[in-house]
Amino acid sequence: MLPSRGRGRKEGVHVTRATRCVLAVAMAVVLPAVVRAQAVEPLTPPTTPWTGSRTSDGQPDVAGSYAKDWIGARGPNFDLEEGQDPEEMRATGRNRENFPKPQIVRTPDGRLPYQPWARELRTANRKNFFNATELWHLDSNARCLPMGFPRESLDQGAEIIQTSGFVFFQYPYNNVVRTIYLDGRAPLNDRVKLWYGDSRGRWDGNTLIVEGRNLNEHGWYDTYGNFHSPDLRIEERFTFVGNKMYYDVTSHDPRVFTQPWTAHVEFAKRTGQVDEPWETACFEGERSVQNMVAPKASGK
Amino acid sequence: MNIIKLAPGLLLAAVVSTPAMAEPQNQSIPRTSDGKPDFSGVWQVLNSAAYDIEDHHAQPGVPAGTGVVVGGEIPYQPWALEQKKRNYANRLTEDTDAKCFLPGVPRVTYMPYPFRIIQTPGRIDISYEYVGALRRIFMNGAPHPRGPIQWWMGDSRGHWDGDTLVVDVVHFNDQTRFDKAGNFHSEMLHVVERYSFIDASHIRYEVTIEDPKVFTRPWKMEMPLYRRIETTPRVLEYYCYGFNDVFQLPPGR
Repeated sequence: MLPSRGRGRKEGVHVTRATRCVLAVAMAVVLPAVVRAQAVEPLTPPTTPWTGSRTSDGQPDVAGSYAKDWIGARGPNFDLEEGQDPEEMRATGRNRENFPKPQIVRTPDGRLPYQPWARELRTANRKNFFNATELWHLDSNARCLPMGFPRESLDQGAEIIQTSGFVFFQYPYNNVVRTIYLDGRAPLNDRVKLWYGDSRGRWDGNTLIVEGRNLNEHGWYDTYGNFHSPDLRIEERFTFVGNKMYYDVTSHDPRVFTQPWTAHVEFAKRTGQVDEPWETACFEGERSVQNMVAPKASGK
Repeated sequence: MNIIKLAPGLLLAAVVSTPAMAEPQNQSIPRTSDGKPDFSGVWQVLNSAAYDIEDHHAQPGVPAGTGVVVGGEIPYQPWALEQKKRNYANRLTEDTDAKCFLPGVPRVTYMPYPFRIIQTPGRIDISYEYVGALRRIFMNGAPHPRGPIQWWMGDSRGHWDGDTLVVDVVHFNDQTRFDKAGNFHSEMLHVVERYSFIDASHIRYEVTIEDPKVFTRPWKMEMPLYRRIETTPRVLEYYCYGFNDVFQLPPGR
């Protein structure tokens, strides 16, 4: 139900498109005010020059294993908007105080700035997830498919490996290797879509800045159907201070969101003996998808 | 034909019988700051071993190929040869490539997809485009964990023999095969890989296969690995497990 260019659209999407045009005009008028109102105080310290040791090719040496070190919402294995969705609050009888703070999503209300049609689809995704009758109702992660970015990087710690011209992030889940090219190479053609996208980066003092693009639309932000389109571009900032790694990822996806928004998570470098990372193989042992999808009542 | 088949074997024998340490150091190969050969980069095979590691003629969708098995034939025990034939018959449904499962070692090396070697002093990782496989070769002297463990890609421990990277791999399951032609092993599989530079853009890749449950004796494969010499090579993605499936996309999209 994402409006896709050059393909047949359903009636509802035409209406949506009109709504988006109206929104765009409205945004242009009120944008400066909105931007000021949306400014949430950053949790990451400002970028400073790097004073620690360096790798042979001159990068700040940040290699090591990092684990999540942050009391915030539970994150991508639940709902990025956890504790901020009025509908959910009403349905479950909980209130916002029941949930840990601060929110991962750094908007004033802790919610993703969806366009109206996208908010509707997100609500439908969430409803479908709990009453799945089709495979596409399920979260990719629940099926042992890749998670995609930025979910993988918001969800868990990583091992950072540095070689000349590269930073590699290895995520334990599904043994994912992320290659960040520091050589200034040209971006991939937009038609190439990947679960984990294409990542090109550069160092600015103690901060690794990465542009991620070429992401497909199969990976959600979380289990409960927060989504993006294949137009998504992410700008990530990994800021290293002492043993801490502050992570801020900004999503730019004008097809789905009214404005860019940022998610924040913090990690700490693990010290002492770190266990050897061993094989994880999820898909090979997957046996339960059929049990997660109920047969359609009307189809019987 | 027999001479052609034998030639790789003779070549291997000559290479193996020459003590690696006695060879003059090849100055033209890339080296790390501690003087070890530096295999960092993107590599790929150029052969048809993924279809059949033995000599084979073409079939629809299968390129012909001279095999990579040194000596030409895999020394199966009689029962195992019969099993290989059954595997061949069910290859389109039961092989890991049909299921999009991790393919095991050494098969992942000669799948027709690029892979990146990420080399650091304590560990050499190989990131494969095919199903996003990742191997971590521990170079810190730590032994294999005590088994029995059954992993798809085994447990890899490496060391340097002169300018040759030697990787010992154990702890496999019996679900992976060597190719799409049904060649197979048991969970007793023991693989020893040897990576050595031929020149800066070619690696000689030799593999010793040992599995007393399936074969009458150890046997070898040998093939070159070619550096992807594009200016900015990339290892992309081949997550085949969704190709014939529906993702989160509502119907009609």
